[in-house]
Amino acid sequence: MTKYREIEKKILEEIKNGHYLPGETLESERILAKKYEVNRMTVKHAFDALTEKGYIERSHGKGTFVKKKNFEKLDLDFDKEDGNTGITALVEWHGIMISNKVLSKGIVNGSRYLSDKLRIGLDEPVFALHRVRYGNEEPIAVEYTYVPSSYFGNIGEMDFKNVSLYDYMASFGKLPKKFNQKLRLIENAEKEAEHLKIKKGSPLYYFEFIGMDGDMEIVEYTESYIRCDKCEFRFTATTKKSLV
Amino acid sequence: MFLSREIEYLIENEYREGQALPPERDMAASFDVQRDTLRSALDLLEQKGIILKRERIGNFVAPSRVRFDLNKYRSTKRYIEGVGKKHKVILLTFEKISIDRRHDEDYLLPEGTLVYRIMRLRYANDIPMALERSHVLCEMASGLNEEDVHKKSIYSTLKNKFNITIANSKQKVTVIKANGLESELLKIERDEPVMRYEGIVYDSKGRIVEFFDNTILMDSVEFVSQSFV
Repeated sequence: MTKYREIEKKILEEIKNGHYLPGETLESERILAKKYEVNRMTVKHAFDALTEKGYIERSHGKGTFVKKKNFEKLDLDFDKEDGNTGITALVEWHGIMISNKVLSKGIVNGSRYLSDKLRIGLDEPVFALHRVRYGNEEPIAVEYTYVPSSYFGNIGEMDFKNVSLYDYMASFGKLPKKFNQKLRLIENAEKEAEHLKIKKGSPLYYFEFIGMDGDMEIVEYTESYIRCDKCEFRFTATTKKSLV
Repeated sequence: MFLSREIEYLIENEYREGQALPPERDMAASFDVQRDTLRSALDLLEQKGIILKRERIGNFVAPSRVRFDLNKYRSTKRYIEGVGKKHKVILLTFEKISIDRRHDEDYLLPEGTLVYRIMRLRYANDIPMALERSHVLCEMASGLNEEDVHKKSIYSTLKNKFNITIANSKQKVTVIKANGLESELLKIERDEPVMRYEGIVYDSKGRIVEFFDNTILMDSVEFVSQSFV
């Protein structure tokens, strides 16, 4: 194997095992060259090969990123792999790219409401992530997400503008797979209307859900305010009780 | 933001619908915050539909919404009674029609399919809540008549008279503006936003039994789906 193929394989492994997440910036060629003790040109060749294969992309002046998945139809992260999700939000156009603006993030302590939703002790810290979600650069939803921070090592340092929260959670084996959901229509959410650039008093979907991972642990509680003119909700109702 | 959630927790655990909350001054003291902070938290809860504010009277826990459980698809009557509300339904029209192209596209049924079109007005606690348009396929329930659906659940009639077992329903929730008829019957302003709840209903053999599109007051219902307990 040529030297650059070896480096390419190493970086690819790091992408696949979640060391680098989609949207995350890779170290510079210079730093990686030093890390792998190779010539900088070798790293450049490896980057070229990974770019060609669609794993990474380069942005002039910003560096090299792990490429994000190309969503066919949006599911604001909701529609997860095992299909056991119930209510699904779909935006009305195809080929959408999701981006985020982080409004605020940080640790919350001692919230009875959140510890009740997350089924953790009142003294356990909760990581709060408040985001505006954009589809093709138009605001679609304002989301308030809370996760038990004890499951995640460096969550406070993560750049959730570029990294998907679910990709991050999955890298710790804490991806929500089952959801309890609640959908309402509400009228008048002033602050959210501002973020979503809609008229005050316009209707919004209010979508609340609690996510449980494969180990039966609650890993997420989210409240999402979603534009009605950009999104619709679909689901299947069944007469059989399908709880496991 | 966090204060509003703590108040919500308190309401969920210690209050009933319609119950008055303590005076704002007392609440501010018990949460150890300023009156203004408390007020903005209460504003948030009003927006979320958790409480109602009545000028100079006080704050009250909002009436509970009719809860449609997607894991236990039932007649609307059962859902309304499920939250302890009085149920009433009035039959407005009953007719046999053949469906047009629009339905063809929406529901994968051929143009000209014969259906019973049933329009009803649904009440919870004597307040009109939904205008419902149900279309039952004639070939599935041949001979269905007004008597069968007057003050009765369509699903129980289908079960008892036609031996049809409803199995599931594909549904969609969007927002529309109320038209003249809808605003008149639901006692709201014309063009006010309302929920459009539509779906197609299958029996246990996978056959289409019914499709519906209902116009529902936004603040009267919620949908829940549970995949764990």
